[in-house]
Amino acid sequence: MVNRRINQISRRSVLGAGLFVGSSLLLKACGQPQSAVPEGEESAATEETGGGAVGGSVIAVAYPGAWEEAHREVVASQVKSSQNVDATIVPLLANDQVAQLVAAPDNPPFDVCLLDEGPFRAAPREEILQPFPAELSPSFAKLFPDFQGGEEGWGPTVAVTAIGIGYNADKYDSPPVGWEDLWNPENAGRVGLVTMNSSLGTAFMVEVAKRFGGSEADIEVAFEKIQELLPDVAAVAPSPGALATLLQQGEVDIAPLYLNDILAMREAGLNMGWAVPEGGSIGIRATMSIVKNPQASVEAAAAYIDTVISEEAQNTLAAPPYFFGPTNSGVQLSGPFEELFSSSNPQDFIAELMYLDWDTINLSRAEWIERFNREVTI
Amino acid sequence: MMSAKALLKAGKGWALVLPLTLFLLSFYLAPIVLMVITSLSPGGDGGGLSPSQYVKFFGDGFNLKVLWETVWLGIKTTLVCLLLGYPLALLHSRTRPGNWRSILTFLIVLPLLTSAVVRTFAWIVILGRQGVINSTLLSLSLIEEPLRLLSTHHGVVAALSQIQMPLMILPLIAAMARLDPNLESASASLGGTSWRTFWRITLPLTLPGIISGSLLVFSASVSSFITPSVIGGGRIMFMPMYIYQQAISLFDFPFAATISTVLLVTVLLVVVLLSSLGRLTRSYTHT
Repeated sequence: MVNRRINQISRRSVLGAGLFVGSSLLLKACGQPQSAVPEGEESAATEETGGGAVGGSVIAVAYPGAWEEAHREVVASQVKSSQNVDATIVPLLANDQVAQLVAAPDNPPFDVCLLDEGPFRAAPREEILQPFPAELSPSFAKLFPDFQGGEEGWGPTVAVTAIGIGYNADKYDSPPVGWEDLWNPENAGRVGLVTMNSSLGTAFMVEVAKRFGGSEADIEVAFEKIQELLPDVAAVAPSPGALATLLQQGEVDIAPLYLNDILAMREAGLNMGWAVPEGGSIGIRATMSIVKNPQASVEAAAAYIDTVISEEAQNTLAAPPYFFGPTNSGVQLSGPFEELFSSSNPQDFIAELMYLDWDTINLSRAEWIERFNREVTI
Repeated sequence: MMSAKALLKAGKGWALVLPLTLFLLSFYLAPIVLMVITSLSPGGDGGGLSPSQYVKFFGDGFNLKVLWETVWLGIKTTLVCLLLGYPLALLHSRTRPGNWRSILTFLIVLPLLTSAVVRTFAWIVILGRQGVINSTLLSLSLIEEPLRLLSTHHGVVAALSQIQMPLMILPLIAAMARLDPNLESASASLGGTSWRTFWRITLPLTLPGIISGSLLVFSASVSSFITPSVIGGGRIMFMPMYIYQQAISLFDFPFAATISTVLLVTVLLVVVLLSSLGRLTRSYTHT
């Protein structure tokens, strides 16, 4: 008797329950893209914070490592307290973001992307991004005019990072002077490089070409110089973060590196140095944009980007342990920026950096990446 | 009558695997078919199917070198796992069930309990210029300059062997458990030396374990991504990294699909080769 009842229960009800659960999950999944947050919740949030708060949630990208940590610690908490937006930070490199957006333009896996100049200018922007709604961003007007995204208006530049010569200060009596020092015989077996897949690697190669008579359009001479250097290279890292790790572990003693990576290591107590090479340090500008067909509301995504460019967040991001070059005119620089560059005015810091012509670079970048990977492979 | 019933039973069996079959068809087979179709697209704006990507792949010495290096990495890792793993599996099967055996089992499975990423980073600490090996050798004054162990093929093989070791040992242990201990005693009582017993009895009878372990280790090694890229660095190129680079850095999806298909076929060839070897040994052990 009991047995039969159990039998009866199992088949029909298990099937029924399964169908119910399955279809409700399916319905939920289908309904998600239209509104990530139910209407009621949004209005409740507005009341709670006394009006003006945007509410909702947003998925934003940051580069793995220092960027991810900074945006999670500083930006996500700030956008939560000021706008009641729940931000999730996904760590992805620029090229990975573009690949994912191109693969699924109708159902992008994140709402806000972060791209360096190179990948940004090479990406099919019309297909994957939407113009930035500057009217929703009170901080936008405070950006230096150069960083407001230009006429195309895909979004603001959120930070400027500087490329120079990073070195282990324990092992050098005096700082290196220029990129040519990497070819110095005393550095044999101590040099670290990074593949051209990254902006760091490409910018380094273009700069080497320029120092030895080439240009953005022609870096043949850089390839020749690298061939010359290869026997003395201790390691070629697959990404800038990996290169910083190699320096930290003593695998390499000198390498082209981002200023903020070196300063973060110094904050952690390591004796690392960073020198502005002869001819100047290269600036890399990173842009944030709202993707096409975002799952989050445009308001929430704009609120997130607005927080990244706000004076409050950029003051924190420009200070220890993050050291990102600010793009908001209200920020004051201090500490190592003052030591390395001539003044504490961010405008002077930005003006002292050199910028590369990424449109020209992108014309041949794929070919260079292929060639670099072939020529350094052992 | 009986056969109809058996058929019905078999039919029910099929019905039960239907969800898995559908799952595999839509999320496993379909992507592979798509990948093969992508690999046959000529690239650029041209349409239709063409083998041009394969011509490009096999016409370039660099690609063949990467393919060979990858297969060679798989072979070396498999051999190291076999040479180091077989004695351990033998020791495990000779240990009487109890505390020691449990400890051995735990030690063998231990690598599986931490992620491959963590184990790979541990190998950086071991192989680095200021790592465990170099600092020991330096302090013993056996070397004057630190040896370069990271960013070398040997370093990748060492790390990968440790990471894949359980995949070799576990099938070996299973094969040895099926080995009838009376056979070894019989060989000994008939005057066979322990060396001869091992070569004529133990090794042939555990060949199925060796083959399945080798299959697992080989296919896991040639398709591994994290360990070769972290330990090998940017100067050593294997197929998985090459695929990633073509797809993500260069957006050349047809060529990335071609490299993937070539790797897949290579692994399948090795699987077929080893399985046919397995069939040979089965007929050998049964006669």
